[in-house]
Amino acid sequence: MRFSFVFLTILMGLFVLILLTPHAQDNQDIKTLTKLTRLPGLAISTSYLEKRVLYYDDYSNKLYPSMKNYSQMDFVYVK
Amino acid sequence: MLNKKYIKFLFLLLLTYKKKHLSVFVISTVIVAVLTSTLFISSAIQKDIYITLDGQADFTIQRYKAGKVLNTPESWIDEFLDIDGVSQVQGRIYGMHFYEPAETYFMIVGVDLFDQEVSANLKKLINGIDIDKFLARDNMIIGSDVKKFFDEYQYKGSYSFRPPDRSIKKVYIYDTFPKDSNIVSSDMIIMDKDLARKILGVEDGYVTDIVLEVPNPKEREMVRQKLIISHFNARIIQKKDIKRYYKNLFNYKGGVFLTLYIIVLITFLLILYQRYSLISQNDSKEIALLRSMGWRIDSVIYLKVAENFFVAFGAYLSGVIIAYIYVFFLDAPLLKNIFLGYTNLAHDVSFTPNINNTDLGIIFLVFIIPFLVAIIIPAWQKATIEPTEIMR
Repeated sequence: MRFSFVFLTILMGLFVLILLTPHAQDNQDIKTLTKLTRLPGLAISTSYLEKRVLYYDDYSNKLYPSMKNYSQMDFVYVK
Repeated sequence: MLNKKYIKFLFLLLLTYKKKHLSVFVISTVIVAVLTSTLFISSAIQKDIYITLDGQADFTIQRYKAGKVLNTPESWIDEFLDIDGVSQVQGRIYGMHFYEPAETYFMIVGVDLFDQEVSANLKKLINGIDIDKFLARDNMIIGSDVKKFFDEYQYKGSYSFRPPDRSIKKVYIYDTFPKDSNIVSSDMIIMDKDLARKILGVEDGYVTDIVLEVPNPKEREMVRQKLIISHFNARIIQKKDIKRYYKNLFNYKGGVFLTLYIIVLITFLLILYQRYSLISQNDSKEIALLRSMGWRIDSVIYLKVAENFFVAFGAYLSGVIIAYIYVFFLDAPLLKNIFLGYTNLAHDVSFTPNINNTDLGIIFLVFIIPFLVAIIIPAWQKATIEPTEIMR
């Protein structure tokens, strides 16, 4: 019985601690980086299915040759 | 009624049926923990989204032709500066670099390091950065997940880009962004504007797109009209559209998860209801005994509610605490992928706590009330039967 009571008291204590911890601070690094790049650029949208900028379609790979990791064969064909 | 003896009796009941209560407690804790974790992740990311969106320009202008986004002429910047109410017109150079062997994208952003504000922000972000040293050779600052990727593929200290002109551009890694900014910078590479222009193949006289500010909100609609008229092949994106887009994305993802959660919760409550409906003979005898001792029906129901409230409340508290530790200390492995996507670079993101007390209150009500209802009905059914009938 005493165990149940102590357990519940500890849980309530931790819960109150979570509620009372100040959580209103903004992440300053994100703020600064956004000011720097002016991009909404969340990593949430790095997947090509989720565009980083609304309506922005990335055609760079279609318009430009793919940037491949160069290999020995590239140098053979250059000759 | 709530005296010391009553509470002692309540705890004795809890201990007597500890096996039954423990299983309900564990399942309830898991359900509350999963739901609360989702809400914690969602609200933490949403907060970071709004911080980044607040730093955005009011308008983004892109040039497009036949449905394709093309580079925008720099000459448009001067034209836009002539529009009344417009300030801070700026051309941006950015784009995705595709690393084909791993099918991974990096975001290259070119910044003008001669701009006072840009260099001040960069100094704030990277402690001890020397801009002159940075510009002395081709350097870049990369996100920590890009760094991890480069290390994995043995690009130590530098990486060779292949610009569209088939040349090779070796760029040195100067520093890494702080981990706290990972949600924005994990796939990002920042370098000098001219270098980014060369690597991305943006011709001189062009930029990727143009951003501009309209400080007075009342003038924005008029400016939008003027921008549309100025160039018919311009796509104008307003900050409020991007905000709406992200809000929809989150509502959609959160909604899908919430629907699944509601299904799980209803199933759990039905199981709970059925379990208490098929109440064991011992439970029925206990209720009958209390009734024959002179307890009223409402007192018996009150006792049952109090007994199960302790279990449910304990499960709620444990669930919230576990969720807090899981999201803000362990960085929510597995569950964060629902919101962040995992098709590109692996994310090593730390969440900024953003706890909404209203959400916690709603979880409490949505969980505790149906839980207690699922207990009250079978208890009431048993309590209304004549005790002699049960004892027989």
